[in-house]
Amino acid sequence: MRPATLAATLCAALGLAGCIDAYTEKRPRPQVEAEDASGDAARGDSDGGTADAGADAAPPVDPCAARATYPVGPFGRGEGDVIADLSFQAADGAPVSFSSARAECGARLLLVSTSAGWCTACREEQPLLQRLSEQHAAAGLVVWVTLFENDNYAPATLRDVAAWVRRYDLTFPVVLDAPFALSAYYDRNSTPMNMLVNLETMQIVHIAIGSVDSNFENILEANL
Amino acid sequence: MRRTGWMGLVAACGLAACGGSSGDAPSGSPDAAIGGATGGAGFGGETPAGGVTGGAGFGGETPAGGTTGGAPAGGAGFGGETPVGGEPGLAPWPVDDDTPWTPTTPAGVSGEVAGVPESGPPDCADTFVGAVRGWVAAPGGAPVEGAKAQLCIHLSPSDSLLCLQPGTTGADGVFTINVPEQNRCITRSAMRVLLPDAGKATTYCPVPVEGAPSVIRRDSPFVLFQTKRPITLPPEGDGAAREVVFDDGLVVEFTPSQWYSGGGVYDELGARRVPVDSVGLCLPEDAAPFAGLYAFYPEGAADEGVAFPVHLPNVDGFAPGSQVELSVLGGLDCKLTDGTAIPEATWAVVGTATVSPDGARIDSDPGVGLPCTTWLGYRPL
Repeated sequence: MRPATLAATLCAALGLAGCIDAYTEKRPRPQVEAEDASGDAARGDSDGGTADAGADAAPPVDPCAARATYPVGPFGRGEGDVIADLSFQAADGAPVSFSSARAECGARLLLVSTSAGWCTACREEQPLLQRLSEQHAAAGLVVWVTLFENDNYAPATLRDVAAWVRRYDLTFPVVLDAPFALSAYYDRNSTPMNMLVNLETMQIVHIAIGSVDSNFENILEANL
Repeated sequence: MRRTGWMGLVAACGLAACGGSSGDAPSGSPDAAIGGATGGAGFGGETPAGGVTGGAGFGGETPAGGTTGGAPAGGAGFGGETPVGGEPGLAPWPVDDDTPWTPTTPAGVSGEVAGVPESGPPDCADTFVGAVRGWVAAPGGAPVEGAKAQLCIHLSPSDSLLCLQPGTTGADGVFTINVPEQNRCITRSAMRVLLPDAGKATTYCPVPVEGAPSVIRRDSPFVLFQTKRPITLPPEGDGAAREVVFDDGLVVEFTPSQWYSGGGVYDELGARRVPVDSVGLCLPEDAAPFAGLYAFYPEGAADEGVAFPVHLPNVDGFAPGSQVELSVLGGLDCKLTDGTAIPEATWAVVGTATVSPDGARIDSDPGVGLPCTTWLGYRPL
């Protein structure tokens, strides 16, 4: 698929097929019905916007607009559950949450990796996460690292975040999770945790403890 | 670059052998004198008064030794009162007592660990480990309370690496690390032990698991050595290298902007020479013993491809022009200059150093130096 048309194409596909069910409780269902969103149709020429939804259809719906609203839940913490819109701090101190990752229309899978300064396993996998980010960005992978503690087991700071980004020359977001909000999603005694989240539905696809291995990569690729 | 041992590197000591000897450095030996020095000459320099500021830096006149004038602190053990170094505004650190001692394992190490079965499930093809228990002491044997003991494990069969939240030592210095139930089948592991924000060097030791019981108990202590503040610590300033000078003559050409630590800052740098026969060291088992050993604080690592040149006092009396081999202990993110990672608790040869023509010092050879502020050892070639 041509990268230039990927985002729009994904929007068409995801907006129709994936995004709707998760938030129908909060927002009106788009005028384009789900049955129009079968794969082939939805993956048509992006110039057409809505593929072949039909010449008589209502004015085109911007499928990306659906991404502006976060699912209302119910939320959970296990695989298959919809994850809550957790808040963190971006490297510049600004608040950031999963909804901002979801708002990127072309994005379809979020890899969240918990890290700490004391965690050798986390440090070792940063180059791998960078590789995954570069390798699968065009397919819709978004990578976030959340930093929760420094080398001394104290809550991480924005200084630590900035140093982490510089140290590993990372181009994806590294966010501060000093309250360690993600610890509710796995056994906090074990780090790192790598989680895959479907950005259409915000459902947790997979949770793995330990550094990324080939099995995790296979699951990641299967969900792109 | 020469490497030996496990994964091409010098393997670290085994669990049972990590305790070292009982520490028989004679008082008055270079090691003993250095350990307790309150002043001491800077490298090749005049003996400074006080030892806090004004120590001569690298390039001075006085030959060899570097320990002349080092007055033993005498009796200031863990928590002792004799301060050394100390930049303005920074609290002085106590001085270790390097008097030989024999460790006595606290009773708590042998206590029951609840919730860990004796054996694991049959599908665990490697070693089933449910907990690790041990103790942390200062030189002399005083237990260190509040120390963090952390375990990283390689899971079986994926070999995925996982690091566990640390156990914290109690008043008796004893810690317990419980391995989460779903991650108890492991292939290898290493430990990191430190007392945060105390100026003590972080230490690493491997924890051999092959054939180990489900609760691994380590009788020999992890010993945390108190580093000393430098007698010369140039302001951090721009990106240029600084000569950081310590009271025994150790000089590190340190570039703050090329160093990363998530556990401390440049102004808190510390180092000390540690007697090679001290209790609790984790040293290579499969290589010749070190002639000298230095511990650094805070733990950190140079940027990739960078190593900080070092100049050591030639207290061993090596002949001018002779060479020594430098090794560093792997810790957080420590890499050789070619990018090869040095695994935690593993010693790796980083290159050579040469004794200066006047025999006063041992200078790291061009391109060789400290890739990380953990531990540095050297041995004659």
